[in-house]
Amino acid sequence: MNVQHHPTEARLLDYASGALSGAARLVVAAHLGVCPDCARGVHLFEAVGGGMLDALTPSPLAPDALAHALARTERPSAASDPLPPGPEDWIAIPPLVARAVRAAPRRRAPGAWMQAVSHGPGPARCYLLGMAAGRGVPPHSHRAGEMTVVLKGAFRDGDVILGPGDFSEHDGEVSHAPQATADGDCVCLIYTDGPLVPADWIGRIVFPLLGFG
Amino acid sequence: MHVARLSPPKSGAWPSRPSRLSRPGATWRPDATDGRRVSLHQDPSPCQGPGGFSHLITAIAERGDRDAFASLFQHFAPRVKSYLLRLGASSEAAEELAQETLLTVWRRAASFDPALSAASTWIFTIARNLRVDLARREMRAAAPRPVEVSPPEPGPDQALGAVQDQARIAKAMGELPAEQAEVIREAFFADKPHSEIARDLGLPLGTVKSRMRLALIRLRARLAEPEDSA
Repeated sequence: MNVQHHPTEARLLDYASGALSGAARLVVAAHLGVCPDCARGVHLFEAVGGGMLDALTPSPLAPDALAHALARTERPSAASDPLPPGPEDWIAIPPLVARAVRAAPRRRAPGAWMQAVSHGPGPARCYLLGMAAGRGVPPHSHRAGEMTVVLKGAFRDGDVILGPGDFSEHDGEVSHAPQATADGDCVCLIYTDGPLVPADWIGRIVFPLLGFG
Repeated sequence: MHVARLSPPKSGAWPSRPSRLSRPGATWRPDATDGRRVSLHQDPSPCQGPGGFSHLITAIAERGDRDAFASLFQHFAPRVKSYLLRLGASSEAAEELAQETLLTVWRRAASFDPALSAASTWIFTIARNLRVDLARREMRAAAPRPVEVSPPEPGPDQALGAVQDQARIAKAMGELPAEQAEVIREAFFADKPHSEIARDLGLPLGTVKSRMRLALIRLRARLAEPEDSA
């Protein structure tokens, strides 16, 4: 896969340290699944975290902590559900996203659909956005940041075309109107920190249909 | 047991490990095909010191070795507790999550690959994931739902940059310019995304991002060098 657009190193560090919240992690995780170079960067930062953990001054646990843990190791661990795979023509997606694909209702508007994956804290949300070939999302801005990874197809965002696995991040200042390329439909996993703000009347009609606003 | 103390914030480099802990059998080599990949030649013998906890995890995976678990627990549980305390957890919550981290090590020992990660790195990611999941559960307290215990991690193909020689990483960290080491320390021990680190240090966002970028580039370069010159 020819991934060309990547998270910044600062984002990789946010991911490795755990400072990135659960919903936002999903977007970065989907990119890492198809980008060995970024995955290695995260792994290197994680190794730094491992070294820092190892170098910490220990804080004693309760005297019976080990006995308690040993007692719990005897219990059979709960069988975990098999991880649901994502759709075949998408890039590999985190299990939580795959679950949402199967279970969450799809909200539809002409040429687009939305499926919620994860909400909160506050206005933050992670969702799947589908755009039909050549169609897109009406112009809008965000009051806060947005992270996107392409799961299938490609879309145009201004002068840039993003394909499968590509990652993009915008701050709240950007106003844009992403549009799937004419080649086929496009699905993205998106995280936003704040509400979408439609730039015109079309958006004011379409966004509520998709469950925004 | 050797206990290195973490430098207080803003005081220069991360302490490097004593050389006796380095493992001369491990060598970083750029992969011949694309020049970016690094692979590790690992000393097959069980290693000693903090870099050598891997065989304990393997012993748990292979034969449910409770002595190995006890050794791992005694070394790592108090450190995981310290890590969580630093992130602001209560003593009770930190202890509970430290227990849960080590129990996860027990349960998932078979998925540990010593060729991909050092034990400390793997245990760090388990503690981190549990912490992230806990935050998510608390957020969803009103509507409980199945939680991903572990967010997907890079698979073996992606993890070829296996960074497991902690002695070399500590050394490379110690050689980072203080301003770069500082932002990385802040990231791990303040539980703040880079935007908040910038705000709290009173630095422009671009400066913090640039320091993190340069730090990663330097660390990668140092670890890609042959061992004897690192």
